Parts: sequence; structure tokens; C-alpha cells
Amino acid sequence: MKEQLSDEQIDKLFKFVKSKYVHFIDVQYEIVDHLASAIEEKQEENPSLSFDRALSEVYSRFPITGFVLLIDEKQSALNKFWYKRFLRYILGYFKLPKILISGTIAFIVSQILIYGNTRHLVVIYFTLLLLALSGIVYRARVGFEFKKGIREKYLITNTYVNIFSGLWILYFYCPIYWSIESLTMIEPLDFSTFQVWFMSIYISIVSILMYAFVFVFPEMLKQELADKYSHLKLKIA
Amino acid sequence: MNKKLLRGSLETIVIKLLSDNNEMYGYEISQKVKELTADEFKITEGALYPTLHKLEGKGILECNTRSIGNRFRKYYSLTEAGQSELAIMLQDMEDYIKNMRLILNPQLS
Repeated sequence: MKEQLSDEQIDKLFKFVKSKYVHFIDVQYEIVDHLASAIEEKQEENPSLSFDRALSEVYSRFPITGFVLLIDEKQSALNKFWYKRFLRYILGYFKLPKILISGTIAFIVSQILIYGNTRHLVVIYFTLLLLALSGIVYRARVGFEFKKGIREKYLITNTYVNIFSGLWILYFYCPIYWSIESLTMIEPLDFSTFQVWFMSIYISIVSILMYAFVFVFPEMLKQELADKYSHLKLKIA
Repeated sequence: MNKKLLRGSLETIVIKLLSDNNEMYGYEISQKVKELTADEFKITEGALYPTLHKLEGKGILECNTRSIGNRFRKYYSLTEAGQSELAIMLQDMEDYIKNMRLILNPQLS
């Protein structure tokens, strides 16, 4: 039976891993277990081997870059993981039954763009802007995306925030070509068919994303944390 | 053992071991490979963990973390996609070995 390392030695391993630029706590856990397992094995083979000597031998098996490659790969794996979740979600709105929702939004917007006037355009633009800002304010109050402490300590939350929060920018690039004159002069709209459909589909996707950013994606993260990272005891509103 | 050759086969090795053993942790995988090959294949940590994370990113592996005394351990297992990937990888490896033999020992063909 292998003798397990003591609590002090495990703490020492955490300090060692941190000193090698592994700042994410979830990654530290995995590396510490690996180092501890390897040290225990070495000490079982050679009981006179000191902890420090065993650690140095085990660490020498890592490449010269230390744990950097490992963190990069882990980061890229988590980025892929979130991208896939995001794509799967958004592609769902291009298939039945959800296409009925995205199609209806796009259809309503297209009808406004075909039959509406400049004032309608201003209303669409400011409604989306208001919804986007409310979404950001709501998440800032209840979510963790804006709380530096949590976001930067864990790779799982860091990658989530990098991917999902970056998408907020889509709202502000909404291709709604209104002009300041539209506030005073009401004129019929004159968009080409391509412009109408492009704007309608874009606005439909952005509206769906807006809802997802506030209510769906944070739930995905909570689920992921509950399923695989419960040991971190992260409390997310 | 040529390290480049081993690196190229690492994904297949990991997937096969996880299929045979249901779930394993990183260090256990490296030890199992050593044991099965009588110390011929030595998988370095610098190669193993990036491979595990890459496979996890592709959705071939999944993991869950459990407490073992005073620390936590991450166990890897194959997903459904990983199970189907295994058959393809093993077939690819068999074909590769067969073709390499034909090139290295033409008289045997």
C-alpha cells in the first residue's frame, strides 16, 4: 500500500505549481495530483528518497517550458468545448422546431423593413440597444462575468467569459442603417431585398443570442460546474 | 523508442486504454503504458496531458473529479463519440502497421 503524501506536502505542491506560473486553480488540482502520484510511486520504490528530491526528479520529466504547453492545450480544449456548445445552441434555431421562433422574428422584422418608415427603424434600433444594455446590467448584478476574482482564478470560467462575453459586441454592430434625420423626418424605407433579409436574419439571431446570454449560457456553465467541478465549490448566482 | 513515433500514436494508445479500463487518471495511463510494454514506451507528462486535453476538447473523452484523501483526482473516460472513434483508430493503426511491414520487409508480401 502506497503511503499518501501529507497535507503539508500537498500544500507545498500547490505552492510549487503556482510558482511555475500555473495560476488557474482548476489546472493546479490536476497537476498536483499527477505530481503527488508520481512522488508517492518514487518513494515507494525508494523509501529513503526525500520529498524534495522526488519532486525535482518528477518535474524534470516535464518539458523545458514546464507546464505552459499543458495549460495552452487545456485552454484550447475548453475554448473548443464552449464554441461547440455555442454553435449547437445557435444552429438549433435553424432546425425545427426552434426555426419557427427565429423565422417568425425574421419575418416580422422583414415586414417592418419593407412596409415601415424611418421612425420604425429608430424604434427597432433603440429597442435592441435597450434590451442589450438591460441584459448587461442584469448579468453584472447577478452573474459572475464582471467579478474579476472568480473569472480569472479558474480556467473553466475564464474561457467561458472570453468566448461568451466577447459576443456582446454583436449587438452594437447591428446593421440598422438609421440616420439622425430619422428622428425628425418620417420617410418610407427603401432597402434592397438583400439588405432586408440580411438585417432581418441578423436581428433575429442577435435577439436569440441576447436571451441566451442572459438566461441560457450561464445555466450551461452552472451545469458544467456542478457536473465536473463540484470540488472547486464555486458559487455562481 | 523513437519519441516522434510514440507521439504520433499517443491518441490511439490513450483511447484504447480507456476503452479497456473504463476510466483512468493521467498518471495511471502513463504507468499502464510502461507496464504493458515492459518499460519500452515511456510517455512523458508533457505529451500525455496535452493529448488528454485535446481529446477532451474534441469530445472524445470526458472527465469527472473525485476526492482521494487530501487531494482531488481527475478521471478520464470515453464518450459515445470516443467509442466510435476507437474502431476507426484501431483500423487505421492496423492498416498503417501492415503497410509499413510491406515497405520494410517487401520479401514477406
